[in-house]
Amino acid sequence: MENMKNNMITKKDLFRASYRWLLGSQICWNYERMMSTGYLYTMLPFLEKKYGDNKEELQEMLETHNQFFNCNPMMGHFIVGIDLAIEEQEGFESKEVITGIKTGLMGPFAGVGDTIFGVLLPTVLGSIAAYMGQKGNVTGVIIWLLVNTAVCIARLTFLPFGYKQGLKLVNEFSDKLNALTDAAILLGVTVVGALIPTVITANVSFVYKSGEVTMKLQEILDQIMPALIPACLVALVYWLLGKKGMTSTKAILLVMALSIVFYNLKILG
Amino acid sequence: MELATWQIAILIIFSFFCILDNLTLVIGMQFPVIVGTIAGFIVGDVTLGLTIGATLQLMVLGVGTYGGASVPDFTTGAIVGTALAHVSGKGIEFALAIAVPVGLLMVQLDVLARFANTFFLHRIDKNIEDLNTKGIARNTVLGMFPWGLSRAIPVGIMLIFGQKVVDVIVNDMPDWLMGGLRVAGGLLPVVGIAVLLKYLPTNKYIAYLIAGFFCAAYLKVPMLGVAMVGLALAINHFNRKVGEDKKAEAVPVAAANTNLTIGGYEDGEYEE
Amino acid sequence: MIVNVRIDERLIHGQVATMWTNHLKANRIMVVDNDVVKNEMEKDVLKMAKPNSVKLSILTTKGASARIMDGQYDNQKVFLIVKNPETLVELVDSGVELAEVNVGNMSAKKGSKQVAKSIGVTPENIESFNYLNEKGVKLVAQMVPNEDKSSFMKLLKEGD
Repeated sequence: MENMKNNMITKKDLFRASYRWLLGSQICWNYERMMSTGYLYTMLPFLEKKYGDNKEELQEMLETHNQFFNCNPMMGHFIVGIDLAIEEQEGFESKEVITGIKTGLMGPFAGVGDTIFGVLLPTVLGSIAAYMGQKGNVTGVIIWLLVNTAVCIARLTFLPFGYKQGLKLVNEFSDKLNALTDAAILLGVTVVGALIPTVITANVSFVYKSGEVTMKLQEILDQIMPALIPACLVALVYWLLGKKGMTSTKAILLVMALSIVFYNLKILG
Repeated sequence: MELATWQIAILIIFSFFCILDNLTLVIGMQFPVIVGTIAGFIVGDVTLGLTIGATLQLMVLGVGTYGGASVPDFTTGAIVGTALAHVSGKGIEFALAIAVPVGLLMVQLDVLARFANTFFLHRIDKNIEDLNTKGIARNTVLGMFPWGLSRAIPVGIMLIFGQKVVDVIVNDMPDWLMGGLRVAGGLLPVVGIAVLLKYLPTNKYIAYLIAGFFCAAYLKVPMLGVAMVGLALAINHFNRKVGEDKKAEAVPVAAANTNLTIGGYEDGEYEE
Repeated sequence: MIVNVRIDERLIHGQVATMWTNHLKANRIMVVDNDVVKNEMEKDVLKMAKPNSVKLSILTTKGASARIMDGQYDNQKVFLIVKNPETLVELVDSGVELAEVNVGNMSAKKGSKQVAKSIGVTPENIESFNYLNEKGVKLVAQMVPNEDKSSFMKLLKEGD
């Protein structure tokens, strides 16, 4: 284990792999093998170092790492780190194990990653930024930019972390995985609930006049529940999206059409 | 308010880099509210870009390119919408009328870019056969061009020719349409919210949805405040669940052993 | 009862984890492999990769056959996954009845022959397959549930 060849990865190598993944993971994304090229590109310097003297092994490993790979890019760092840790020690022997790990981990990691970085962060920060933006305040936008920058910098530590932890990471992670995903969804749903009355503008302009009596429909609705119309609209579109053939595009066009209709019927305004 | 050539040039380059940021650093150039603000800055009307971006943002809340799906590109919509609205002098209704169709049309170009990169994938396969590692690196990076151009070219076309089109439309925009679009601006967030709720396991967390709604509708708690409440509840839930999961793991192997007639497990075996 | 038997070197992954498990309505995935049982890392990956709603077993051939023969899983729907046909030969020899086996992913190795896009077989594998065939086990090749089932023995012969 003290063999020089088995401890060849330096801090510089890890950093280089980190930024290669950061910049290259999706740059050549395609339907056939998705992130395979990004993965290979990231592993390339190490592969040349490790298998350089054996043309056959190098070629097989190049092929191996150009196989189908798809994961959340933030989480991908961890997988490459773990891969490097294992291949550094076991080399060519570990080819099948590595493939198994890549294919086994990309699913669950994508689940967590997409939930936290793909849904939660944009939802919460996007809500705040958009809500402030509606009022002409750029503070939310700036906060979001700062958080994203922080995440970007943090990502550079993920691969070295995966490399150091290696197998342990998988063990400890599996306990926390479900809990983390659940907690993230919980937070997201809470925020979305608050969005409904906050960012949807549905002023019911309909006024009922009969002789002396003037009733503003909006006031009546507010008595029943504030933001009643927004809530009902969300429920309606939610239900529609469950129907076969309904897509978010159609929903958008439908809402636009209805807006125009109701505006002209003087119901909304 | 015509757009100067340098403004158009910068917007085109900006759109090229927005998609690249989306794929790499993720500083935020794929989010309409951020991009709209910057586009607004470039044309000289930050507030316009900000408000347009905000509405578009609410339409794509949490909608993402998971697993490689293509989604409406309201980022490009924000750029073009802001720029052309500025030219028209007509504000957010006009911007929406442009941004939404643009965003929906851009999906096709996204699909095209993803397909186009297959070309580089196959070149890399050949590089592997020839053990040409430099070629592998080069072809991977070249993938950025289909991506970037799929945004830059349409934006360029729309900005250069769009200005003339804008003039024509502006004079003919009737109130029934403009008013309707204004209302639409207020209602469209409904779609973004509904899509997100459909994607998440909302049923499981419906209590929290109601709690969030209550805080904002009745207590008038601002968004950041609700986020904090949500965070507190989430942390609590996380700690509780980790404790539960740990207990749950310890039990099954023992339980499985009790109704066996065969005896215990061999070294290393696992069963739950 | 065993609802499906699959040979897949990658064990639990993408297609297997979601499509097959859902299609079969399996409530247990049983991985049988004498080497995996000794490898903590592979076991951890399996625990992570398996779908939440499904229970997992990672057993030796001896342990698996003993438990199956004892009727421990009679009321469950078990999706049995192994890496190679040799493991199945051991199971069949200890009395486990396998009606049908689906050959999924077997990567190319030194001295192996590609009989299908993702199936490479060594001479040892071929011997095992022939043995299973003689014992009456139906061998098919089907990557995903909505694909057609091809006869594996036919693929094996065509590869010759």
